[in-house]
Amino acid sequence: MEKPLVFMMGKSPAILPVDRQYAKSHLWVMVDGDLMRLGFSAYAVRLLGDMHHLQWSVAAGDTIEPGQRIGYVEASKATSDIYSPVGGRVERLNEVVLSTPGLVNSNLYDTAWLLEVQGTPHDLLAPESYVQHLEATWPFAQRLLKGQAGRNPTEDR
Amino acid sequence: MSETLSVILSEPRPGDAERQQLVASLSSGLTSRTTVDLTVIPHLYDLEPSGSTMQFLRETPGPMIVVCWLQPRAAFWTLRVSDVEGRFANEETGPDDTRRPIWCLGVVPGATDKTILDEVDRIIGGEPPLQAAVQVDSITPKRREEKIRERWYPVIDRDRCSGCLECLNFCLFGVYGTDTHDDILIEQPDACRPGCPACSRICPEGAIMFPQHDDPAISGDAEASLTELKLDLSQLFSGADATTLAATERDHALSEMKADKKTDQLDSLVDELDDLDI
Repeated sequence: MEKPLVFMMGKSPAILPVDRQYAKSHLWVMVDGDLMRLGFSAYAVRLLGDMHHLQWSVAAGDTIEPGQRIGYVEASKATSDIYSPVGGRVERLNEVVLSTPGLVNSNLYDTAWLLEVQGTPHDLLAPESYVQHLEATWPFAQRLLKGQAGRNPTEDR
Repeated sequence: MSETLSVILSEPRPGDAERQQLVASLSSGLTSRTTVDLTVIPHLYDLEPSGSTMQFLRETPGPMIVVCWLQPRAAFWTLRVSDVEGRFANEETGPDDTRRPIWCLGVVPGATDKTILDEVDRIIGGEPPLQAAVQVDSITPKRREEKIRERWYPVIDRDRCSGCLECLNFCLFGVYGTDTHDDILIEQPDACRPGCPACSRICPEGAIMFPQHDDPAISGDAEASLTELKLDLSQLFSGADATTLAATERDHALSEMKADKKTDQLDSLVDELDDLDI
């Protein structure tokens, strides 16, 4: 298999396999015909920590739009809404991950996929472009992690 | 205390064999104590305020121990939501508080039948007079039957709530309302989105609990709820690019600074962000 890309989050590497595409909402997308399989990127998992709870606001059969909020994740370090980068029909939600969210931490690029959507890929990033996106947003992410984003920066002086 | 004390034992939600086993063991241990007047009820959190079990709890007089599958603080305020009067006896409330004491013992991680029975004995005081084994087997504890369904709704710690109404403004599902005094009211508890603990996170006082949530900071752990609130990364995960994120960050900072009327700092912040050139 081709060597994955690595984005360094401080001292922690986020491994990004090159056999798939990525979205700015920090999901990987594996395209097979008109079926797209989505999962969290290593970057997302690293920010969130140990997965505790996953909640979908969509079900199999639902039609979703790109950018639509489709779920919610709660992990040891953070929580987040989950946004779909693609539009189409939700084919399947991964039941195994719903019942065992911790699988995302151990097997994020394989068995711990999140959902499958039937539709046309749009606006996805090649691994190299995703790394560029991570580089560009990393300062913001760091401020968010340090609890400084949205706060008056002069408070910390 | 020599008279009998009302002990309420809440069953777990169905499907957990280990918890069912613990309840059976607790039920037998409590029944064997002549100082205990035991009643087994369905899962406390799932009970409707208008249901017969909450009615029974409201009408049960005197001190009470409630053993249930919730953090003690969450259990107490779940009772108070249904107007079961009393004071949270797990904590000292002062000599002037004449309300009847309600002790809430949570079957939380680390608790065993022994730790819970020991705590019951400690509250009652002294060694419990046990009934003969042969009698115990023949005693079936009183049981309240009520058809319930799994619920998900916020429980407010009224001692912590400052009445800021952040939750009312934040919730998208119409769960909250206010009474005639503008005090927060859980108007439509069952409109709450199952699994969503968002209002609990934004509450500045750590007053909102979701007792069935996995995170102790949300489910009512008294310490964790004030210290362990997590980051919300939704903004970062929305798929926004660097420019949008920076603009959002700036707008947020600007609005906060405007509120503070710190215009000199505002200018320097704008310059700083312009210099970043992203």
